[in-house]
Amino acid sequence: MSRKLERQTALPIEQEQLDLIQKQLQELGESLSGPENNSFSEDKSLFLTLDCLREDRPRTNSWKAGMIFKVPRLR
Amino acid sequence: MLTVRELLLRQDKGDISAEEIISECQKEVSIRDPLIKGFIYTSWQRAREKARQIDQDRARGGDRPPLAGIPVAIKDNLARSGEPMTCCSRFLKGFYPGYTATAVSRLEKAGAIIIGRTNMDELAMGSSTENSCYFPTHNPHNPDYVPGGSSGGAAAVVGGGLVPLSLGSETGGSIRQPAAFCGVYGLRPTYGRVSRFGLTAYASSLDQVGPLSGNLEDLWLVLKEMAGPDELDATTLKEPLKGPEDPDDWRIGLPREYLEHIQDPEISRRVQEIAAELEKAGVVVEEISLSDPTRALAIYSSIVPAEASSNLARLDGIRYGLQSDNNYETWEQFIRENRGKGLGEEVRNRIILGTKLLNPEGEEDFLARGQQARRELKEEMQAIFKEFDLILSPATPTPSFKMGSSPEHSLQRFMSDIFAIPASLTGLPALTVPAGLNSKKLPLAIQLMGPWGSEGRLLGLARLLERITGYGPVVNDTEREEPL
Repeated sequence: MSRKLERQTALPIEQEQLDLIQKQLQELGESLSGPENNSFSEDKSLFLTLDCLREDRPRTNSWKAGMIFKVPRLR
Repeated sequence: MLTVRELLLRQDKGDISAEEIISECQKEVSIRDPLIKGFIYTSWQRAREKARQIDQDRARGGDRPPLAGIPVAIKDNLARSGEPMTCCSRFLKGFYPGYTATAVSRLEKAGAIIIGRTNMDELAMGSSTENSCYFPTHNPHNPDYVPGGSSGGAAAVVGGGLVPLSLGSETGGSIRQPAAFCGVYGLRPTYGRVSRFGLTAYASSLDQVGPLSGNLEDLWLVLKEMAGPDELDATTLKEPLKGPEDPDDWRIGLPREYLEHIQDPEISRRVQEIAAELEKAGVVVEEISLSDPTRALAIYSSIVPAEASSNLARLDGIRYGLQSDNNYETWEQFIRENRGKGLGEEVRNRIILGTKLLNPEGEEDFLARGQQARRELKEEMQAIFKEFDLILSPATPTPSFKMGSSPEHSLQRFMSDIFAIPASLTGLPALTVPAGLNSKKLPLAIQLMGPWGSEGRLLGLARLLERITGYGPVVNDTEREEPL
């Protein structure tokens, strides 16, 4: 696990750090899993487009313009 | 330190030259910055040359540029050609960018004189400026307390009266929280209002450059020069910036969920007192309900580390940055060693967390949840601003805290930014408005948040508040007898 994460992050990782990250993920899970957060509708776009931050542009144009804030996922 | 307006007027009258302003500023910094430790780099020679040039142009009858001879400090994550930019990270020591950030070059074009670079948490990750690779910065009101962060140096040099203006940047409150801790104004403009070109990226969908000042009018003068479209940043806005507006039948919302998270009774009382003063002045203030700000904190914690781990992948020590002298067998080992040696613990932790978030591998996908919840938060804000003109809230749950007392390694670290984060996630403008001192002589502050593009409205209400409450910036420019 840590070897793989070391490759992905290009950082040396100690077990202590892994435990810490696991704790933070747990905190995050608790914060994001309240009843309020279980109501996410499936039709909501997964990724934020610039239009979500700006109100000067019709929402539908963003995909055409290719201006999407999409965080690249590591595979 | 005089305000920008006063410095310009004195130059117009011929009472002082740009070169004399810089000399005075240098004197002040040399006496007082050893106590505050706000600067990590100063460029007096370059500043004096620029000042001389401005004076000569004016002597030849040229027009006075709008910010002629005004000394400005910039945060160490804004590029300026010809001087080092380290983001207060060991990794970037010795790095000289070959270009200048648009925000900085626009100020220079307007006649402002950059006098130095200010301390910050490494790569903008932190809320106390204790995570700098150089040294911690001290709060100008009490050296035992932090100035906030990550733009702690930029806030401290203004709060200490060393410069009238500074430029900071924020992802989730890094301008507004230190401004609150140091008793000055700090503005997060609408996302896209100021170009991010030349700002070292942390989380690109939230990052913004903004000014800090001890004077409201100065804030407007500098914002006016920096704002506007920039072909080097595709996210910049074309819409013109509107000037300060006078409150006219405005309705101000006071979110009760935010009030519940105040941890200091003096802040609580000050917010209520200010709301009451506004009502007396004829502004309608109503309690409203918004989603709990801890939800925004969780959204922030799921998105920002992910963007950071992606943005900071470029720090590999090959093109620039720290290079290990040790022998290595593979490029992978070389890069890992460079990053391991050069990046501080907080940065490494956030990169690891971000990488895990980007790659959930069968575990719950918090990033996707965070992105969805962010959109919902945006929609909630849009709905509330159909009914209300601005939102009034505390700026921080507590005043500045003692050095060395930041929570360790927990999402609790973001708690002092809890009221700042909703505007950051939704791209809305927000302003820290200083609100006097508490019983320990530490600054208190409130926050005004507005709909998209409403910087003028924020400044208008802040101007009214200054007039009716008698509170304002608290710049501590007295000399201390004992060095820190």
